[in-house]
Amino acid sequence: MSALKEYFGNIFTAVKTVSKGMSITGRAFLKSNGMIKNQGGYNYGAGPVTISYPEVKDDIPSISRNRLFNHVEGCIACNQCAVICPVECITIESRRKTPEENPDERTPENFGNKPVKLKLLQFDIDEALCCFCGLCTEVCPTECLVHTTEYEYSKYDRDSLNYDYLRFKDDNPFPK
Amino acid sequence: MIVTDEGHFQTDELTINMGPQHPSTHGVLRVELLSDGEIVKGAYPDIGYLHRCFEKHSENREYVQAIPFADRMDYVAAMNMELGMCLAIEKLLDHEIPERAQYIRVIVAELNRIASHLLAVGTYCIDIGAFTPFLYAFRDREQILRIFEEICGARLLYNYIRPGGVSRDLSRGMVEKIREFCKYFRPLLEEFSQLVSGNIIFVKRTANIGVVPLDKAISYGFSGPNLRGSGYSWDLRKDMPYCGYEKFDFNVCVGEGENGVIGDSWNRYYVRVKEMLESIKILEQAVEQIPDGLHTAKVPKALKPSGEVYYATECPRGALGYYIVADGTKKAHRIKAKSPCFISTSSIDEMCSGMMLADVVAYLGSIDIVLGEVDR
Amino acid sequence: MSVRTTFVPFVVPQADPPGTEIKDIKIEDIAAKLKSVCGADSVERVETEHKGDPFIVLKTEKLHEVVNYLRDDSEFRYIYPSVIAATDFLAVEEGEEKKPGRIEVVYVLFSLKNKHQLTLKVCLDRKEPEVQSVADLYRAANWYERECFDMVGVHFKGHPDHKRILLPEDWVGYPLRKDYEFPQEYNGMKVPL
Repeated sequence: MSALKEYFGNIFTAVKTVSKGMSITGRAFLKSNGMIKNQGGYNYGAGPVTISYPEVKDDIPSISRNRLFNHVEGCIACNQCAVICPVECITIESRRKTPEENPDERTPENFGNKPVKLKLLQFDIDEALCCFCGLCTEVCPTECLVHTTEYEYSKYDRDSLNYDYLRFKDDNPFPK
Repeated sequence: MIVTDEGHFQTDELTINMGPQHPSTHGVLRVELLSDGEIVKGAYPDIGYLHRCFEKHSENREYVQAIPFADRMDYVAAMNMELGMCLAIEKLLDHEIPERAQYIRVIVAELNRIASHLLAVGTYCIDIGAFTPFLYAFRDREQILRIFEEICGARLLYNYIRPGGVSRDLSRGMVEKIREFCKYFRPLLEEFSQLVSGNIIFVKRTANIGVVPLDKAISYGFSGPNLRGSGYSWDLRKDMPYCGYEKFDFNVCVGEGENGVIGDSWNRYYVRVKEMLESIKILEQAVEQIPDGLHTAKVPKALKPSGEVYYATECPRGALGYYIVADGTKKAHRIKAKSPCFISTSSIDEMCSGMMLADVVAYLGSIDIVLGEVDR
Repeated sequence: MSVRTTFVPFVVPQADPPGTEIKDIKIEDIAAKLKSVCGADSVERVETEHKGDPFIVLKTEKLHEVVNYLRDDSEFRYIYPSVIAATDFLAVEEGEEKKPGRIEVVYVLFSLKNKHQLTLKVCLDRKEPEVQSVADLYRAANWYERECFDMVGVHFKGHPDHKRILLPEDWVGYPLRKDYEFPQEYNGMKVPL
C-alpha cells in the first residue's frame, strides 16, 4: 500500500515541480512577445533580447574606448603618451625645427592653441598591442589623441594594424 | 575479461586527463584524474597555462601603469582587483580620499560583485547541464555591462579606480539608471532562484557533494562565499571594514545546511544567490546617500610611496590581498597578489578523492575559480 | 601510476568563532613572549619605523618552532594563513647604507579570535636559500611554498611535493630574482620579445 502511495506521490511531485519551472519559462516567452510587461517598469526584455547584428547595430556611448585616433595638426610631440603607455605601443620621432620652418606656429583653437616647437616625423600606434586602457588620452595636453567608437576594423594581417597617423589612409570611413 | 581467483573481474586504474581545454573547468585548468571505474582515487591539478607574469611586469612599471595589469588578473570582477590594489597603495601614502569618491567606489564594486556572482551561478548551472539559467543570468549581466560602459568607457576591463579616487565622475543621470536597474533586477533574481535552487535535479546533483569541514576550510585559508558556505560568519566588509562600508546596513549570508549538510556545494551556491540580494540593498542605500564633492584627491603625477604593507579586501571570490614592498621610487620593488582562487584550486587534491567522476565537475563549479586569478 | 600524496595529512586545529572587535596587540609584546618561550635568540629584531605593517625578523632555524607555538597557543591562535611570499634584494655596494644581498620570505598570519594580523620574516642567503617548510602546520602553505620555489628559488626542507607549479618543469632560472635574464630560446624555439 505504501509503495502505491509513494508511486503516486512521486508523480505528483514531478508534475508540480515541472509545472513550476515551465511557468517561469512560459512567462519569459510571453514577455519576449510583448504580451506581458516587466515588473519595475524597465523597458529591457520587452521584446526579443538579441538584436540581428550586422543588419541592426546597437548604439554605444560616446566615451567608449575603442580604436585610437590622433589629429596630427594638434600634436606638439611632447612624448607623454609614449611614456605612460603600459605596453609601449606608441612610437614617436621628432626633431628640433630648422630656422626656415615657422617658429611661431601654434596648434588650432580647438586643440588648445599651444606653441609647436618640434617637428613630428613619425607617429605610429600598434593597435594590435594596445590594451585600450585610456591612459594616453588622459595625459595628452592638447587632447588630440582620442578614443573613437570604431570597433569594426579587423584585418587579415597583423602588420597592417600598425597605424601611421601622419599618413592615415583607412578603408573604413572616418568615424562619425 | 580476466577473472581472478575469487570470481571478480580484474580491474585496473585509468588515468584520465581533464585537459586544459574543457568546457567545465572555467579556464585552462588541467586535472589529472586517477580513477578506478567511476570512483576517483586521486585528482592532481596542474596550473600555469595562463601565467602572464603580473608580478614581474609590475616591478618595471609605475603604479598607475600597473593598474591595467591588475584588472586583467580576475577579468570577471576587475573593479574589485583595482580597488584592492589602490587601497593597499593608499596605506603607504597620506592622502585623504573624498567621500564622493568612496561612495562611487562602493557602487562600482557592488555592481561588479552582482555581475561576477551571476556569471558564477550561470556557468555552474550549465556545467550541471541546465541551459536556461545560463542565458537568464547573462541577460541580466548585460545590463550591468552597459551601465559600466556609460560610467567609464569599457565593458570588462575598466582601469577606473586610481590611487586617490576614481578617474572620472559619474555623469548626470547615472544615479537614476542604477536605481532603475535595482528595481528591475530584484524580481528577476527571485525568479532565477525559484527556477534553480529548489529544483529536485539540481539538489540531488549538488547537495552533500564536496563537503568542506570548517576546520579544514580555515587551515586552507578559504575566504568569501566558500568559507561562509561552511557555516562561518566572516566577511571583510563587516569585520574589518574599509572604504566606507561601515555606513551601510546589510547582513552577512551564511550557509545553514538546508537541503543537505553545511559545507556542501549547494550551500556555497546558495550563499552566492543570497549575497546578490545583499548587494542590491547596499546599492540602493549608496545611491540614496551619495554626496556631492570631488571625485578624486589631489595626488601627484609621480607617486613615490615607501614601506611595506599587506592589505586584504573582499572580492567576489574571497579575500584578495596585495603585499607591496615600496622603496621610495616611482616603481614598486615587489607586488605580490594573493589570489583566493589559488587556494581553492589547491583544495581539489584532498576534496576530490573518493568522489565519483561527475561530482568532480560539481565541486569545481561550486568553488568558483577563474584561471586568470590562479595563474596571474 | 599509483596514488601519490602531495600534501601532509595532519590533523588541523579546531576553528575559533570569529572575534567581535579588532584587538590592538603590540608587536613588542609578541616578540617578548616569543623570546621567553622559544629562546632568546629566536627573534632577531622588530621593525616598526617604516610606513605600513610592522614585522618581526626571526632566526631561520627557529621558524618552525615559532610558527607552531603561535598557531597552538590558546591566547594567540594564529590559525589562518594569509600569504607566504618571497622577495629578492640585491646587494647595495655604494652609498651610506651598505646592505648585503638577501632573500626574504614573509609569512603573514591572521588570528580570527583577536582579528590581528602578524607579519614574520626570515632573511636567507642569496647563494643557497633554505628554510624549513611549514606545510605540516597549514594546508595552504603547500602551494604557497611551491610558488616561492618556482619564482625565487627558495628550497623548503621537508616539503612533500617540491616542484615547480606555474612554469614548465624544465624551465631554467628563477624569474623574480633581480638579476634574471630572459632566455632567448626554450627547447629549440626562439622566444619572441
